[in-house]
Amino acid sequence: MLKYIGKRILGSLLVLLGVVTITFLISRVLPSDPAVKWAGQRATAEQLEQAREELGLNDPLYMQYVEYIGDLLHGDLGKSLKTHKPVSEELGEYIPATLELVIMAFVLAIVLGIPLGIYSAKKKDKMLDHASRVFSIGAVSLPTFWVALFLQLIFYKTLNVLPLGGQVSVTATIFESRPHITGLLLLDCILTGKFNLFMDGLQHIILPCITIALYPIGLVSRMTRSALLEILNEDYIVAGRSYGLTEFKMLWKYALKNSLGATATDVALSMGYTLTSTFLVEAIFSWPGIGSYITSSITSLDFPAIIGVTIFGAVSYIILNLIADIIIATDPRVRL
Amino acid sequence: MKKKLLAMLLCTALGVSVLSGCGSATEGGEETGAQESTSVEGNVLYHAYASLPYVTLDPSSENSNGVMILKNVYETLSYYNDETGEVEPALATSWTSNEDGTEWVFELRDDVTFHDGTQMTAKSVVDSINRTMEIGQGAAYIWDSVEKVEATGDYQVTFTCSYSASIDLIASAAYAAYIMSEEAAAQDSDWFNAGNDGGSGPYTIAQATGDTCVLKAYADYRDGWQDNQYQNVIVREVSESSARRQLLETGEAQISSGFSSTDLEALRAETDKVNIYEAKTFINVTLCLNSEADYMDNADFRRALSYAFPYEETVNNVLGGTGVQSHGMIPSGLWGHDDTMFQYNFDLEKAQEYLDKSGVDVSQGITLDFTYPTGDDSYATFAQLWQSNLKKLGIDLEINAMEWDAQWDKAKNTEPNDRQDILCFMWWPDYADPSSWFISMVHSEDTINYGFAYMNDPEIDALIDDAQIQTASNRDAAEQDYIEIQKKLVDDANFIFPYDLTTVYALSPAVENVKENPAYPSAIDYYKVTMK
Repeated sequence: MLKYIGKRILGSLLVLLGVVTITFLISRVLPSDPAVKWAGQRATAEQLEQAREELGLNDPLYMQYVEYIGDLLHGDLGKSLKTHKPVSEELGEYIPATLELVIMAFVLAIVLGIPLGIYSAKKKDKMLDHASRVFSIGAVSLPTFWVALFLQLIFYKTLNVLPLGGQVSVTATIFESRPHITGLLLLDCILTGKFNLFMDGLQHIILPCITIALYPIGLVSRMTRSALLEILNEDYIVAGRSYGLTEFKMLWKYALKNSLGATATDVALSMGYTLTSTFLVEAIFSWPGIGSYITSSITSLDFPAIIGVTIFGAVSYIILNLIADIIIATDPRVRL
Repeated sequence: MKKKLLAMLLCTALGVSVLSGCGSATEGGEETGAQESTSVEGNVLYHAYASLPYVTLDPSSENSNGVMILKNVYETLSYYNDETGEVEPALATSWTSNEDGTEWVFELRDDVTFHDGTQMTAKSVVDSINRTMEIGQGAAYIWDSVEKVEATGDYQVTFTCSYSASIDLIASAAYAAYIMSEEAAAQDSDWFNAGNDGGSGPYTIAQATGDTCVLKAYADYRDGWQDNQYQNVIVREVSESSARRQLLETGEAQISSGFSSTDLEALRAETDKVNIYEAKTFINVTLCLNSEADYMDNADFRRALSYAFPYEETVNNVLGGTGVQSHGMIPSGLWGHDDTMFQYNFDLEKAQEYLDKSGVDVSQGITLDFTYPTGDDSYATFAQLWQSNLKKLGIDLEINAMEWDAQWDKAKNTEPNDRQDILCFMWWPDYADPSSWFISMVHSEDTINYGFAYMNDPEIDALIDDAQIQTASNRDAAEQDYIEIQKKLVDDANFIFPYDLTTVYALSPAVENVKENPAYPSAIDYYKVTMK
């Protein structure tokens, strides 16, 4: 098992190196001058030359690459061309908000998706199954921006029961001091007993969380259903039933356990994807997460920031993929 | 069963508390803007901004949206009053200069305190300007003429310049001209970006988190505070136009701008919920015609292009009311602008007439390369309209969207025919002085920088040089020089001046006195905004 994990980590590091190399090269061949981004649109010739020197752009490409990889190994992702702040520092500011949102969304997806999948499998071809299918397909296929705008229209503009966007209200931003322990607002509020701010944050996370959760809810419920249907026809289930075990016990204790492997893999991969693709939802809900950082980095061709985000995406995928592989590997039926 | 029931009860309680939390927030006046603006604790002005409110909070180097924050936190020695067109005292009480504008003496106020409690002296001013010049980032180049700045008294500062410069105007700039406390001037950018400030303006920075900036009233501000002024201002990025619109419609936000044409149209119709304010800007869009390229070196050919441009359609249909047709190079509202100046209008017959007169044979097909910077869809739209008009004259317009640095790089090519034929970009002055356009875009250059019409006219150069000197001593004479230059430029059609931009604000009816001074783009003087 350890050998398997070691192999997977080594493979992942090679993937990471490949991602960094390709992104670095792309950033250097695009028709864009980082010195102009650094010094500003109206930079003087002296300012541009100073910027080239500071950024090491006068060095040959291979030296720039070696230097970048060297810095990377020391945890230095370079400085943003736009803000001149260290990219790692900026990522540290934006990632927690996205992480919080995505974790909440996936908790919601698992809490709702798995029971939905189970009941759908149990009531195969019945009304509930059809309704679940319609919901799941709808949840997977509806564009997130449409869902986001729709939810805002209903819950903010029409009913006025939930806020339009932001992580906390304007009032809370000004009058409540925000705790900083883990960077995850809701968790920090619980840890410091800031109940008002917690409630404020909770209200703000509901709509973006539902928007993001819809896709994984559909995915999880369909995956659970199809895995369960397969398992429910297995001999050991039939044997269990003939021993007189209750349907509830059969379903929740014996069948579900064996069906979660595939669902867990999909959830993990889907979570990795969601971490770096929430920018539309974050933009619509003014959520101060990595999505807005990605958008602003791409539109301004801020290469160090783009590479930083790419590395974050790749690392997220690799870690979550690794977790999924380990989960699968714990299944004794799988030969490593 | 009991456990199930307990879990259900807990879930219900949580759901009810969350939703009732929302409801009670509305009832209690903490959440909705209309109530926010009147309750004691909720004396909050919410400005929903379309992009990040700042790049850096360092007053020496910020050269972007951050002026909207910095202008309320820091002050400058002088201030450009766009209503009178005059430079007025701010931190300085008066100033004098020698005849050729190379030495300027500023007398300072003696009642200014910074947010850190220290008093402004001549040393604070010297330290601030030296810091900006030493860092040399952003718009620090506005001080290029300054050889030295020194304290010549406790409240007197003297600038010595290596060439004639209008320091009174430069000192009023929106960027790189802010005065800070001595302690702040000794700090690096990280200190400012951590949310610290050393200004003397009516607001202090209470919180800065990238997408949000919170300003709080500086209690000891020398002009005092009235009950109907906002003690708290929050500027927050709300990137979606529809979201900003909803925030205004519900009264949660009081100020916003940058709407899509659909949202703007809808907001204009909601006269009971929203007031519309159209602010003039000193920003204009200019098309530089490469006067060294084939065909383009022919003034009649350039005039033909000018007459074929869809001015009215651009202003009315493409911009949706967010621009007005330019008259000359200098935007309306800035000294040197002349409303009576001739401007081309769309007239295809005249365009054909000038094309014939130019002698350029289009029968074999002529293709012109038009470049514009990515990020603004209106450039592409008006270019397509122009392309269609030019097609009727037998001229093909090749439209190329480029990243600014790539566009700039191409424009700086030393081979005229390897550059673009027409370059479209936006320009605005660093301070309220028309010289910015003429020195950068019109004056001949040894090395190409921004002179994308590639002009080399000694007569015009002499007029620009003269205007620069006159600005320091005789502004009326300088203005006449600039008007004369513009007449020549319009007549020779070295440039096409399609439009000056306006910023359309949507405002909550709960606020009044919202005004943007075009010399300070995007900056609202929150101190002057009052509650109704």
